Amino acid sequence: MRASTKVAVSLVTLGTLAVSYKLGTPATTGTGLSAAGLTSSVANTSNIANEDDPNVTAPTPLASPSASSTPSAAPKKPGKKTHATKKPTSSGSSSGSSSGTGSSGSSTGSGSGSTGGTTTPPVNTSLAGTKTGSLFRENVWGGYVQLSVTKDASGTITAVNLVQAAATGGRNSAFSLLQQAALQAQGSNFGNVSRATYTTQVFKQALDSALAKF
Amino acid sequence: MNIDSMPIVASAKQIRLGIHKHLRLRKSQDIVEILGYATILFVTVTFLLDGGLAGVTDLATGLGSISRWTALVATDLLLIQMLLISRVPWLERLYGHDRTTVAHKKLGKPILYLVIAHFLASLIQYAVQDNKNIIAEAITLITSSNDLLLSFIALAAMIVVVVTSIKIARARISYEAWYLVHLISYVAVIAAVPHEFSTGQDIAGKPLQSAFWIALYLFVAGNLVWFRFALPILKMFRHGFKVIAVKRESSDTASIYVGGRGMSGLTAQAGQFYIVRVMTPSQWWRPHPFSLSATPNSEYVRFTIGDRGDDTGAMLRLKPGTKVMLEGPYGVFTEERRTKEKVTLIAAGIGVPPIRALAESMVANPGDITIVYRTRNNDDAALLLELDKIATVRGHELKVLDGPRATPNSWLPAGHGNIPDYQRLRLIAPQIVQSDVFICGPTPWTHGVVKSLLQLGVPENQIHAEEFAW
Repeated sequence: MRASTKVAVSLVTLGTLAVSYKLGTPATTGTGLSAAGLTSSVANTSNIANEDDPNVTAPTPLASPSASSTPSAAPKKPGKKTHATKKPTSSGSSSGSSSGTGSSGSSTGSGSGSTGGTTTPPVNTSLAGTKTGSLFRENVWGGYVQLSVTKDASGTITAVNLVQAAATGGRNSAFSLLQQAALQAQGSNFGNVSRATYTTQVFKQALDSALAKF
Repeated sequence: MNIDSMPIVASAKQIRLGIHKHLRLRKSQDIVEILGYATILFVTVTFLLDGGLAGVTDLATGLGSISRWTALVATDLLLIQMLLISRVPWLERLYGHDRTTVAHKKLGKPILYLVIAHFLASLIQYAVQDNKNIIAEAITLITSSNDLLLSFIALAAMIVVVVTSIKIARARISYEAWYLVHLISYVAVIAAVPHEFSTGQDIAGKPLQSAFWIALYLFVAGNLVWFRFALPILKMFRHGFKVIAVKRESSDTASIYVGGRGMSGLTAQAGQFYIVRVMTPSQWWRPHPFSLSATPNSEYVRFTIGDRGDDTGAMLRLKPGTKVMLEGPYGVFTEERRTKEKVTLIAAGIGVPPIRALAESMVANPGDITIVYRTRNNDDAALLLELDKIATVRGHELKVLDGPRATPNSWLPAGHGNIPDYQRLRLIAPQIVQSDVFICGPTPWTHGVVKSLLQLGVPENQIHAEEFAW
């Protein structure tokens, strides 16, 4: 390369790098996202979910046909008993905002049954109760989740509590959002927590495995 | 056409000279290089825009960023490296086969270091996040995903390829062993692809980046498959190349005449070379680069090769009728690079074939061209009689310098007193500073000649040397 070209290329390179560094998504530790964060970021549904930043944003309720600025757009679905038949991978990719990671996202260690915890003896006729579901290491970018689901007599999910959970890549802050989303959607039928796609998948599979026990 | 008659091919009537040709070439080279840099800049910019640096908060995210960026740059360079060796005409014409090969070699180690950095950074990152030791984490990674298992295989393959290509190792293993090992670099490149697209944080789920990488992969693969594999095979079937004669030139050299159908359709020029595959069961997978030693005509192309104790020895005994495959023509050691009216051609030993071909075909008035031929022994110098005849017919000056070298560092034989090589060169070829100089010979010798030329003040763009980069 000629010297003059070299100088021009170097200057352009430096400028471009400086600008893109400035414009780069600023870092946040991603801890303790408040409800306000949830509300404000729902509008941001066109965001491509990715796993490259621990800065997680809220899930999109699938039922809302378009981006809505209010979280209440998600319809309540009381009495919905189970989502056990729903494939975790398809729910992960149906939001239109999931990362296209079909091959590695496929489940290897499928949702295992309850492994201790607060399981009450299953009473099939009753809607009420607390069941535990867990999923260990769906893939390396997910983590593992063991959670318990509590339903009241009408079958409404009243609580989703984490028994044990750890997300990879600093995505632990996603869990509070995922719990809220699960309550809101009354199941696993909600969109990805953006920037925590894999963690969402693991969470949903654990949730489904718990719901399947009702 | 009788091969003994040695036709001297009349050259093209006109040739464009002047520095503008050189400047145009440099401009095209700059454009290609800028495009190459632009790909690296693009992946770095998208990385930064996605918070590549802004997202670093602790050890794990820092390692994650290192892992991402090294992977992006390494993959980009790897694809450029593949392109450099794919022998695409649009690169060969700009740089010549020797320079693209040298660039390909130079990229090997940096790419491996980047890939190793990517591997270690991501491994340690996940180990830190999962609170595991590195071995346990590596096992988890391999067993949790087929894509990652493949990427481990790719890494191992890449290490083997680079290690066997390092100079010291090349000296210890045979060319054939190195060549076979080098083929697994295709395994390395392909096995790394799945994890890039399924888990690559800068690729998976990002349409722009995915499109960029898919386009880059397809572009390189297309060039490689078409120019390196498909075209030579198609040409072989179209022309049906085969040896039509082998003629002994000296005690250790011989000319091989290769003929076929429609030979006038070949685009080769004097000074270029073909990569020749002798299509016999034992030799077809070991190609050799050979320069044309005569201007191609409608009957045959001719190579003059020296016995180097390997396959080339067997080639001197090839039977007429043996099928061959010709890949090429390659090289920019041609009259297209000429900028001056005067020309000096300098050859040593088995570097003489392209010089012989250029002397035959270059546009010149009598006295324009000076040929300097450095031999060990004039009684056993390949193509000397032919050069003599060409010089007589076309009015070139021919200076033959034989005998052992003057001093260990000299590229000239003893004689002319003890004056330095460059002063002697001016005595041998008085027009040399005003001429284009074409040099072909062993690499250390070529470097000696170039040094003398620079000492004489010959501008760099008038010096044309092709190295045996192989």
